[in-house]
Amino acid sequence: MIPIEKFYNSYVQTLGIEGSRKLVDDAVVQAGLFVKKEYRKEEALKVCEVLKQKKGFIKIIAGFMAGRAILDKS
Amino acid sequence: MATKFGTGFASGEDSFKVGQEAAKKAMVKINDEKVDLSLVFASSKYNYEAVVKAVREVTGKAPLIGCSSAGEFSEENVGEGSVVCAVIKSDTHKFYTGAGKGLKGDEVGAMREACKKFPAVSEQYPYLSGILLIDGLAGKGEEASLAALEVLGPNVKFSGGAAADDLKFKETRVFTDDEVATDAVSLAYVTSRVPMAIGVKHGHSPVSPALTITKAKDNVLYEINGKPAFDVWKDHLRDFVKEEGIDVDKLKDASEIGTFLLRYELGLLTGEDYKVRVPLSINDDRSINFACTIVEGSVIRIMSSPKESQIASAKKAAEIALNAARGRKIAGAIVFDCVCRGIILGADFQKGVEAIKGVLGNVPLIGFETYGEIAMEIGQLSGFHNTTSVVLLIPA
Repeated sequence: MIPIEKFYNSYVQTLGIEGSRKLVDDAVVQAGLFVKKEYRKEEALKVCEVLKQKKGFIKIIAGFMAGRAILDKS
Repeated sequence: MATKFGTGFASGEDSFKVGQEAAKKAMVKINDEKVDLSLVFASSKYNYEAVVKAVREVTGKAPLIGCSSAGEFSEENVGEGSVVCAVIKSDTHKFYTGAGKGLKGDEVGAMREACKKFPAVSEQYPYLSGILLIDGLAGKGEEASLAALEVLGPNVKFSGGAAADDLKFKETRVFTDDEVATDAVSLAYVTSRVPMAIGVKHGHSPVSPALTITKAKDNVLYEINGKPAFDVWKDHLRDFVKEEGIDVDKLKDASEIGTFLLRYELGLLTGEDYKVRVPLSINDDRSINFACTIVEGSVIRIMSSPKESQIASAKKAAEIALNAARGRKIAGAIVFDCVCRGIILGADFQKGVEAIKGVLGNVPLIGFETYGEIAMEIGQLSGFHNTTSVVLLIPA
């Protein structure tokens, strides 16, 4: 399971706390999911796919997140 | 022998002779030994190709990275309109250089090009790091540092800066070996037996409540809480800056507004500290142009930094780096210091350099004033900073 905090923390240094939460929460909703504490790998990858549609560093970080979600054994 | 680090500082009218003088002064300090890496930072006053050619001749065509700058300094001199050069000779560090073009259009492609000849990991030199210089006007600071992470991999820490051009904002260049390029990156990849150490610190604190960015695209901030960005800036600073004799409603020309914005920047709360983003200019619709991407939906504060905080933060950056060096003797330091700090400090900028020297002791130092600073430790996902001091220490 992948905690939503991992998504928030990935963007907090570039968007700040509030900005990272908004970005991730919006992406979760666009992915057809609810905002919750943790996600299965398949769900996390859906969120990453939404984020990868953005440009620049948001897309790049989403790529890193997708890679970690795939490698996550939990 | 371990590592030797020598610096040279010069100024004058003839670009080749100035580059030559700076490089020769540096070479003397390492007893003219064979150079493994040279660094050169040059004012936009000079013909960069001539400066680079001179340095390469003096160092026997040693690998070189560098860039144009907005102020240059060493442990001996602080100035503008100069060239500063450092040469490194080392048994414990191996240096490889690479250049990548097309940063604006494809930051990952540019980084791949820069890294294409770098070697695989060596057991004898297990620590990996990079010194990254980028076109400071490409507006791709955050993207470039992430691209470096993507291409170099998660086990490489790096630091560096965005090239500058003495506040002309016309064109910045990076140098790699004989090459001088714009819209490009210059990267020195370092494999070593001992790790390099990085320290990062800014000196800003918030002066406004939390504000939400309601409209932004790329590096332009259009609206905050539904109002034109610059109007909001003025509203929150009007009373605050009165004591300094600034009337925000009488700021007219681009230069006055630019100087004002450099003193009151944007902060993103990232936990216990803020990430600072520097506003550069405004547009007719009172939107504000920044040095890097601004994201809609971010919650920000307007920040201020008195001179004393700027000097203290330079000292702190050096302390953080020295702490990270864990007692190892230091051969030399490379400092990436934002030109915004130079503007805030004015003639007191030297005090910031002295504060760094005070922490490091009798250590050779080279630095330049940047259009942005880069520092990415292993495990991090954000590497671009503004109005911040980044201190890189090379162990002896």
